[in-house]
Amino acid sequence: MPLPDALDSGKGLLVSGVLNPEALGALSPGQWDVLIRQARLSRLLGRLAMRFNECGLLASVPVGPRQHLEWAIARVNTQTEELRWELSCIEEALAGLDVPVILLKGAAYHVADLAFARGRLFGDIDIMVAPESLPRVEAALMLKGWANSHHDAYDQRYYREWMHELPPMQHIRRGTTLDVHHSILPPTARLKTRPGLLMDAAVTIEGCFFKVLAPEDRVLHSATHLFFSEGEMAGGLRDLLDLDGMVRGFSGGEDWQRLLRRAAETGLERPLFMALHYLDHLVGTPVPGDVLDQVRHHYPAGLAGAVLDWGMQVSLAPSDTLDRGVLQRLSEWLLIVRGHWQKMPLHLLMMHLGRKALVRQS
Amino acid sequence: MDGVGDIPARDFRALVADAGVIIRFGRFAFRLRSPVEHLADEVHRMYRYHPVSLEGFADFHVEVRPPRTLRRWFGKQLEFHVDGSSSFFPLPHAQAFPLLEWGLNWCVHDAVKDCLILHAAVVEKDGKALLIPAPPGSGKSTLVAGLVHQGWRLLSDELAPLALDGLSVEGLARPISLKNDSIDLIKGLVGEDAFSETVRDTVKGSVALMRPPRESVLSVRRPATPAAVIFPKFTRGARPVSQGLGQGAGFALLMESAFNFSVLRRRGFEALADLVARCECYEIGYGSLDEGMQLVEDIHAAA
Repeated sequence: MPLPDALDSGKGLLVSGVLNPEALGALSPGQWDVLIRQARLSRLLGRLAMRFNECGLLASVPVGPRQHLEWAIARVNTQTEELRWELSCIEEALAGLDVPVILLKGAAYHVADLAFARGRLFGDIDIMVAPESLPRVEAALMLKGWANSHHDAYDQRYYREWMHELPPMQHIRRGTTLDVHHSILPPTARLKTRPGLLMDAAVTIEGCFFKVLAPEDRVLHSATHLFFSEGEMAGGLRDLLDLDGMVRGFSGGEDWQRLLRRAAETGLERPLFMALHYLDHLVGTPVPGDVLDQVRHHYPAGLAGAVLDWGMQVSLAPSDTLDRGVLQRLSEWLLIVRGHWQKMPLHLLMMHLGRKALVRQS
Repeated sequence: MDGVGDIPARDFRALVADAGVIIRFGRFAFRLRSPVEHLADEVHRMYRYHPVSLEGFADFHVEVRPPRTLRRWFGKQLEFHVDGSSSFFPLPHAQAFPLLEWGLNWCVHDAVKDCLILHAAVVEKDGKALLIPAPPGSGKSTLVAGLVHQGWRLLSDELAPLALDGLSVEGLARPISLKNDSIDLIKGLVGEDAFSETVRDTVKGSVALMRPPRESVLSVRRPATPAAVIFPKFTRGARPVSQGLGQGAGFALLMESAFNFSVLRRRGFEALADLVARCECYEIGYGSLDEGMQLVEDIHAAA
C-alpha cells in the first residue's frame, strides 16, 4: 500500500495511521501529540484505535497516547451497544408497516459489518423509505416516542417541501436523533437523481430487519453526501476514508465498471468523480487510471474548478486545531456558499437566507 | 523534571503566551497557552510544585483567550478552548483562573473511560483514603482544605478517578476551590500565600483557589485505597451527627455523582457495587469545621 507524503507531515501521519499503522514505525512524543489530536478533530480517533488494536500494536504505543486510544475503544464499544438497542427500537416501531426501511451511512456500514466501519464514531441514525410510505413511517415512529424537533412552521415547510428528509426526529425519553429520508438529495438541488433506483437495488442482510444500499450505491451516496450537501466539511476526511474503505473492497475491473454504469444511471457522475479525484490525490487509494479518465470531464473547468479544488484540499486535510486561519475560513465559507448554491435554485435560496437573517429563532 | 516554580515568573508568562507549557497532574498533562498575564501568574503560583515541560505529549491542549469574534470588543471576556474548540460561554476577564480550572475538570471527565469519574474529593492518611462526594454548597472543599492543613494527603478536590475494580483511587492534586465565607476561614488557618486572588461575582459566588501542598503533589502518582465514603452537610449552628447509610442508599447517591456512568455501563455499575461492598458510607452533619473534621477522624479511625 503506497504511503502518501512524508510521515512527519500531519496529513501523512493520520492517513497512514488509519490505513496502515504498521508502517508508522516509532513516533516521537511530539508526533503522537499531533496524531491523537488530529484524529480526534477529524472524528477518526475510534477508527485509528481499532486499527492499532487489530494489528496488535496497541501495547507498543507509549502510555500517554495509548490511553486515548483505549478510551476511544471504550467509546466505540458503548456506541455499538447503544446502536444495537436503538435499531431494535426502530425495528419495533416500523416492523408492522411492511415497508422496506434502508439504513444509510454509519449505521448501515455497521450492520453490513464493513471493515472500515469498525471504530467509526457517528451521531445520528439515518434511514430512508419510499416517499409514499413517509406519512405512515412518521406516524408509527411518533406512536413509539419520536417527536419532531423543529416546531416552527417555516422550518416544517422548509423540510417538507424542499428537503430530502423530514425534520430530524428526537426520541422523547432517550434523546436520540433519527433522520428519516426519502431521497439522498433535496428535490430542489441542481444535481438530480432518482432515489427509486437506489431503493429498488437495496440489499438485505441476513438476520437483519433493515436493508442497506447496494455496494456501488453506497459509494455514490457517500460521495454525494460529502461533496453535494451543505458544504460543511468537519468530518470530510473521515468520509473520504469511508470511501477509501469501500472502493478497496472492490475485487476488480468489473466492480469499477459497474460503479461507472451506476453513476451514469443515477446521474451521480459528478460526485463520483470528485470522490475518486480526492481519493487519488489525498489518500493514495488505488483507483485505476482508465476509471479516472472516464469521469474526469465532470469536474468544473477553468477558474471555478481551480478555486473549488483549492477549497476542497484545504478542507479535507487534517488540522491540528479547530481554530481556523484566514485561508481556512475563506475556503470553508466558499464551500458553504457552494453547498447552498447546489442545494436550491437562486430565488428559493435568497428567500431562505433572507428569512434566516431577519427572523431570529426564539 | 522541573517544577513550574523553578521557572522565573516572567519567563513562565512569556512561555505561556508563546508556544505554551505542558503541566502534569497525576497521569494527565495539559498544554496551556494564554495571552492573559494574570492567568499565567496564577498558574505559576498555584501549580508551583507540578512537573512542567516544554515539549512532549499532552492529553489536553488548552487555551484561554479573548474571543476572535466581534464579541471581544464588548466587555473584556475570555473563552476556554480545548483542542481549538470552545464548549463554554465566555466569562469576564477576572475569572480566567476559575475558568481554566472548570475547563480542566470538564476535559478529564469527558475523556477518561478507564475509570469511574466521581464528583468527589479524596484525602488519605495512614494508607486509608476517604471519598467525599457532595453537591456544591455542602462544605466539601472547606472540609478537605481543613484536613489537608492537618497533614492529610490531598488526592483530589473535585474529581475522584475510581479504578474499575473499585479497589483504588488515583490522585490529581490540583488546587482546591473554596467559595464565599470559607475563603477567609481557611486563609486564617493556612495563610494568604497559598491562595489565588479571590474572584467575585462568579456563578458560584466568590471563588478562590488554594495551592495543594508540595508533599501531595510529589506523591500524586501513588494511588490510595478507599476506606470509607462520607457525604458531608455543613449547616450553620447544626449539632454534629454521623450515621451509616447502608449499601443501597450509598450506591444511589454515588451513582448521581458519577460523570461517566453511562459510557462505562455495566463496568461502572460493578465498580460502584464493589466500592460500597467494601466501604461504609456515612452521612455527616455539622455546624463548624472543627466538628466536621472530628467526625471524619472518627470514621477514619474506625475504618
